[in-house]
Amino acid sequence: MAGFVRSLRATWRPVLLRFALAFALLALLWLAVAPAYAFLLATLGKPLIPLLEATPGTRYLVEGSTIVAARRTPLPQQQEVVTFSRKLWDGAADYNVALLVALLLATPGWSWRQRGRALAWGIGLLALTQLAFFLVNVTYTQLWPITTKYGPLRPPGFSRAKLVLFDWLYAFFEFMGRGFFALLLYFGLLTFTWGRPDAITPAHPVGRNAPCPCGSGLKAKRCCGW
Amino acid sequence: MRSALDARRLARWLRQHQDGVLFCLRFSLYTILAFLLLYALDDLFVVPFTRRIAWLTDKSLRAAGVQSWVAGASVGVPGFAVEIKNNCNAIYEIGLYAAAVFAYPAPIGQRLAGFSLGAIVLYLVNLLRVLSLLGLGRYWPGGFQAAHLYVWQALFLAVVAACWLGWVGRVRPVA
Repeated sequence: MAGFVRSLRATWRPVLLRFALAFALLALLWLAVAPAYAFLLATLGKPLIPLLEATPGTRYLVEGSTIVAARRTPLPQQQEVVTFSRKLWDGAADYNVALLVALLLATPGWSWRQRGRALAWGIGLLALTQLAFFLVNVTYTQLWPITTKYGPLRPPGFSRAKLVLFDWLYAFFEFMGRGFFALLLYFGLLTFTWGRPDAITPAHPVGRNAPCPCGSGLKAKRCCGW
Repeated sequence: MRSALDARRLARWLRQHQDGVLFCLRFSLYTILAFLLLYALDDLFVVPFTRRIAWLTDKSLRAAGVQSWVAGASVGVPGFAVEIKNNCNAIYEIGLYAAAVFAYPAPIGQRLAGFSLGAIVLYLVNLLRVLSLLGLGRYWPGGFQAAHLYVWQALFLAVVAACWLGWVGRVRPVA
C-alpha cells in the first residue's frame, strides 16, 4: 500500500475535486447511457430468462431505462386473459457505474494500464451484479399476487418459502444496488492492486509471547502475522 | 500438459494476489453477514436506532433554537417533516464500512479503533444529512428529492470510502 497511501496523502485535495467533478459529469452522462445499458442487460439476460420464466408468452420490453415484463395470465373460470406489467430493472436512479468509475478515475498512484484494468474488472463485475438483480426480479415478480377486477389471484408456482427467500434476495440486491456494490468492488480492486499494508520493523526484537508492539494487547504470535 | 501449466500459473497468481483475494472473499462474506444480521434484527435494533436518530435530530434542532417535533422515526419543523427510513439511518453503511475494516489485513486493535471512529463519523454525517434535508425541504422543497435520492446518497458513500481510505492510510502492522 506504500505507493497508494503516499499518493493519497500528498494529493487528497485534487483527488477529492477530481472525484466530485468526475461523478457529477458521469451521473449526467448516465442519464443518456442508461437506456442502452438497460438494452444490454436485457440482451445478456435473454438466454437465462427461459429457465426462470414460468408464464408462457411473456414479453420483455425495454422502455427507456427500465426493463418490463408483460405477462399474460388466463383468469380461472373466466374466458379472459389479462396482461399485466412488472418492472424488473430501472436504470434511471442507478448511479453505481458512475460512482465506481468516478472513484477509479480519481484514485491516485495508478498507472493508466492499472486503471484501465481496474475499470474493466469493476464495470464487468458490476454488470454481473446488476444482471443477477435483474434475474432475481424475474422470479420475484412472478410470486407477487395478481390484482384483477375479480379479486387477487395467486400466481402459478407460488410457494411461501420461495417468497421469503426472494424477499430477502430482493432486499439485499436493492440495498446493495444503492452504491454499495460499487464501494465493495472499489475496496476490493484497491486491495487487489496494492496488497497488504506496509509493515514497520520494531526497534527492539519482540518475543513470540510478548505483547505485540502494535498495541493490540494480543501476544505477538497471535497478531500482525508473526 | 496444458492444464498442468494453467493450474501452476493459477497457483502462482493466487499466491501473488493472496491478500487481495482473501480481502475480497472476506469482505463479500462479512457484507452478506452484516446485511443478514441487520435484516433479521430490524425490529429489535434497526427501528430503535432509527428512532434515536429522529430524537437526536429533534434535540439538535431545539438546541439551535428551532421549533421542532418528533414522533417515532418522524421528525419535523413547522412547514415540513421527514420520516427516517431504513436507507437514511446510516446503519447499513456502517455495516458495509465494518465489513471493509474487519476484512482488511490489520491488527485487531487497529481494526476495532478504525471501526469505532468510522462509525461515529458516519453517524454524525448522517445526522447532518437529516438536518440538511429538513432545512432543504422547509426552504426549497423542489430540491429535496434530488438532494435526498442522488446528492446525499452518493455523498454518503463517498464519506464511507473516505473513512476507509483514511483508516487504511494509517494502518501500520509490525513486521
